[in-house]
Amino acid sequence: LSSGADTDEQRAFAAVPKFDTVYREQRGRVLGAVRAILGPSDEVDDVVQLAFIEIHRCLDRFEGRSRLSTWCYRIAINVALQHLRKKRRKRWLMLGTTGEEATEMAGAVHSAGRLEDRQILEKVYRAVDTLSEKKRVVWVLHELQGQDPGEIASVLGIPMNTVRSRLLAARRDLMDELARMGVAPDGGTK
Amino acid sequence: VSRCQRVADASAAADAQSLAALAAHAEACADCAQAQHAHAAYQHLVSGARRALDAEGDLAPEAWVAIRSGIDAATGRPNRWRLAWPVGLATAALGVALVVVAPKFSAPDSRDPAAQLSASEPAGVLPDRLPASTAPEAVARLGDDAPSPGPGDVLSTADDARTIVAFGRHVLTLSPATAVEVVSWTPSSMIVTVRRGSLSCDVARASAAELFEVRTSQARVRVLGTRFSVTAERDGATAVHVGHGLVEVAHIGGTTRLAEGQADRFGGAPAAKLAPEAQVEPEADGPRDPAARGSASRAVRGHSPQLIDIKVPDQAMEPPAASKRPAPKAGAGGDLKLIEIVVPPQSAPSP
Repeated sequence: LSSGADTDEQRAFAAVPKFDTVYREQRGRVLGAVRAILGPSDEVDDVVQLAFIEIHRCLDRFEGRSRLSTWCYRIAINVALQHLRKKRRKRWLMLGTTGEEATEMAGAVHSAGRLEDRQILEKVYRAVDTLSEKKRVVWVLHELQGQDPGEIASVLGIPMNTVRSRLLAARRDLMDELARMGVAPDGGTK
Repeated sequence: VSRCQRVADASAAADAQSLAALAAHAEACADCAQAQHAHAAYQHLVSGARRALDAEGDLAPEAWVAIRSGIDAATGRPNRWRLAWPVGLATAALGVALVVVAPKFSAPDSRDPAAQLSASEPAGVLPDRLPASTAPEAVARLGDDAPSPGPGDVLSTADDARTIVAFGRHVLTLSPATAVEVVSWTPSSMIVTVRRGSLSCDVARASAAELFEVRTSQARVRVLGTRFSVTAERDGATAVHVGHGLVEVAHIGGTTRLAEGQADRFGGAPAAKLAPEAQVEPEADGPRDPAARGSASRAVRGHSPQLIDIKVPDQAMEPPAASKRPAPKAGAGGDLKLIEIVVPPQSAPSP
């Protein structure tokens, strides 16, 4: 009995992937998730690092109920959202360039061909910032990361209908916000 | 204006079928046309944002290296990093304390010639012939702030003054009315020429390959080093044989100097003095190296309960004076001037 338990323990231990492997295989996915949640930001590197620290901390608790990539993705999203929450709390302290100036400065470092997309990205994220956290995650994962509602439901651990309803609501809110910003015409959805 | 629910549903759902229905409906519905226009603009914005995100690509390798370092620091080596700070701070504090406090206790008095010489000398090399006063004549000749002599420089003493010059580890004592030319002074060789008078040298070579040579018009005197052997015998005695040079043995009965070819036995059962040929090994050769001296002492202590310390004070030499006039005896001629010459850091071999 004892040896059987040991074997199970060893098997469970062997099933836990090594961090180096996880880091090597998942870093692109983690980076994509963090970048999608944060948008254009200088803090992507830091948040990726925080996400991997969290992955390292929780790796021995990975039970294999979901795919490792999904598990890492979920952690990356949670860490990025946590970072956004902290950032919102201390936003009132931030001084410096206005949004327009920051946009121009950021655009200056990109080539002319990518400038328009970059500007669009920043405008879209300014609108995305007005969404609630729940809507934001669903919208970002679907529209920018290209995940279908089923995958999003799996990552976030919520029903698929909830994903659909949040996505619908996020899209309406976003179109209204873009129209309000003068970036897109009013669609008359309200 | 009434809103068309169909428009709202289609623009929100954004699937192909709904959009096709919307397009068909929009031809006859102003609201739907407006919604279709807005949806196209939205799609344009989302596509642009997606392209911009994709264009960001991967991080630079340096960024990944920095990220990995941060992860390692936070996860893989937490204890080491936690310890590194206190250890680093303690080391820095100790360093500052040594720099600030140590000179107060160990720095020699700049007015004391004996202390000056001690600072430039290896332990145990300082001769017991330091003067009590300083000769003003020597000061006038060499100067207090004279630069370190190099090849071609001539050191000279007055008729009534003796001068000690420390060339790094080597100490040269110029008798009164002596002139010495520095031929070479490098980390690997020290060559001087005695033009007149008498020169006494205490040589501390860093290695056997280091050359120390004193020349006159008729002779060359070169330090070859010391060769001696120490044998720890079974009865606890220590046998010492000097093949070349001079060795001083400090033992429980006192201090004994053994010259070249001499041998003696210390401690253990009384025995006759050893024949030189009986001493074979171990053999130490070369410079007066404190490390070598220490190892010899340890070897003796390891085999004998008695403390026997072997020193090698053999490297002092008196080359023949080039002057026809007999040189005054050391210490009897007059005052002595101490000059310390500091070896440049890049040319100073470790003793």
